Amino acid sequence: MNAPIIETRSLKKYFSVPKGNLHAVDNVDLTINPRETLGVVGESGCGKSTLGRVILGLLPLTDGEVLYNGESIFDPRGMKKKHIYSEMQMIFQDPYTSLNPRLSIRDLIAEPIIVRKTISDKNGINDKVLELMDLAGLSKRYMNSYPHELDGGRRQRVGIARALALDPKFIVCDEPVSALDVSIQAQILNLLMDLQDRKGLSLMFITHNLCVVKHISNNVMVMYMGKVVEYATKQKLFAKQLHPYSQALLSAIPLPELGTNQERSILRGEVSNPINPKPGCRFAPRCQYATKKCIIQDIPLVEIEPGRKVACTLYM
Amino acid sequence: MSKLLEIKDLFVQYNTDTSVVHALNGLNITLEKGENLGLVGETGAGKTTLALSILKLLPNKVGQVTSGSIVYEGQDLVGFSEGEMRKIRGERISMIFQDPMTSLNPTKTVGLQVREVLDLHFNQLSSAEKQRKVDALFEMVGIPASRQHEYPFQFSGGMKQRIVIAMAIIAQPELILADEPTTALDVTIQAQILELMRRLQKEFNTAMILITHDLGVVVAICSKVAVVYSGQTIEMGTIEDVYSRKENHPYTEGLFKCIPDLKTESERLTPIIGSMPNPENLPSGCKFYDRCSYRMDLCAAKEPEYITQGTHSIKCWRFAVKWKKAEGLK
Repeated sequence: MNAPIIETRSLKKYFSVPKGNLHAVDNVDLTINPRETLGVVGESGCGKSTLGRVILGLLPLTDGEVLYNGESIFDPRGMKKKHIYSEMQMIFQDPYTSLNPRLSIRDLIAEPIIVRKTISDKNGINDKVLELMDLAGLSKRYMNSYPHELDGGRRQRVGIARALALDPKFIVCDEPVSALDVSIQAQILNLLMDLQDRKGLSLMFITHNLCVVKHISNNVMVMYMGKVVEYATKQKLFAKQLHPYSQALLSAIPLPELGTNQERSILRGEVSNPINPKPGCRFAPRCQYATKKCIIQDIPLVEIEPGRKVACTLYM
Repeated sequence: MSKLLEIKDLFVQYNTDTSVVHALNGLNITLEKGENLGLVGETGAGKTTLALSILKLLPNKVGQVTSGSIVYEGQDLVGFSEGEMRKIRGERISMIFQDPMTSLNPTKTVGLQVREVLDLHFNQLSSAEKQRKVDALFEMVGIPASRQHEYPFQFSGGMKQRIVIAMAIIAQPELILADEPTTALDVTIQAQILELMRRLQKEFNTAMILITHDLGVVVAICSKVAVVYSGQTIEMGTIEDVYSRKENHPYTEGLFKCIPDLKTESERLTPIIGSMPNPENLPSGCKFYDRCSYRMDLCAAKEPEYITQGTHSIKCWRFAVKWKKAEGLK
């Protein structure tokens, strides 16, 4: 086993709001090995996007550490180390708003190269852009088009080409297929998996869609209100979910099959307030197994078998 | 059961300054009283245009029904005047919009917004009666009646969608058009809303057209499904006809295949290659020709027939040939 490419140690990100601290990411430890994909799942507001941004250094962290290849991504002055910029990239959720409408596709893809000055002559840049477009499955004729002329799937391919422009080692994909139709979604997922093989990329794949996670990940992390509730290999998690929230999340998915939607357990209530949360399990108010034990103190994430950690009193 | 709505060969186009966008190109659906129809299709297939056409809410002058009929309880809505439509909207056919965040008025309390429907359509009721109805409805959709004096921003997305649903059913319409009612919601909240809609629909015996792109949502709540592609119904049948996956239009088959499956292990997905044809410039034959893996020469030359076998209809030459042969043998 190689050393992990990304590691976080008790990572915390609190946003200070008038009423107190909003705990967006609370004590997250994760590791991503080279050429592997970590799927991060949870509902809106669970802190999954914030986590991705903190790992990339796009948001300052409150406490804890982010390590890239064993070294902190920040220098002692608290600035992000320069060479790391090009090695960690991001693919954004919405291909409609994440591309500058006034730049042509060629300029959009060339932008990171020009900014980082990895290639300086114009022909070299053009060749690189064509190579990237080919990698992302975009036909050459779109080179001088503008984003509004492309459909959602092609725009997302532009976003992918941009992310690949600096030959990164690690990419955070923040819901890259949620805004796309299913038939296009499958094309983009296949593309991402092919690129991962060819370029040896490591991915962090943020999504609310468990079916997509199952398809693309090696490990899966389920988050609820800033906390990791279950962290396991894909095989273990999909064979059996241990945390009640993981179970509920999985059974809430309507499957396109006959007669499978009768015996679903429907979760009551909604996500509670993440501002100055009380101690104890944050899922307890919605959990059918909740007991007094759950609300007295914070529940740690414990390894209960190799390749699976759960934060729940049922398994302590 | 009797027929509530029958849409036959509906053509709708949008006229812009530079071009004509053909949004619906011969769409067919039928709906019985109290029945739930799932309308499935991708972005740009014409799902929302259909809902707007039924309610005559197409943008003035730009959107235009060019031919076909929308027969609702024996009357063709296409020729209806604005005044006549007003009596139908909200009272007999109501709509649940996709995005609960933007479909409520932020400056009015939610109670007033639900009550507005009664003020418009049931003005003969006394104020106390109206209030009683509103209170009962809030409880029914799972919101304490005491919260009706709050404003939309004080509710979460799932709660707002419950309020929008309350507005849609308060007049007890015969038909509800639900345009992607759960797309903007999280899965656990989506499950709650689907459960609520299923319960209310049983209670009031309302018919519903559920517009969605999610094949899973349809099977959870509908008894019948229509698949739309490029403004045409390419397949329609009962849930069993379509979801048994024995005989499907190649597009429906592709849709099923490209959903990542939770149960089986698969290395790669099989996407449908390419994308939907440009609605400004449609091919003359089958609209799915370019993306179809079963295509024949006939498909490019001639538009397929919409052929029915029992409760199952498909618009594809493969089945036109096969099913006709089967009929001939009988």
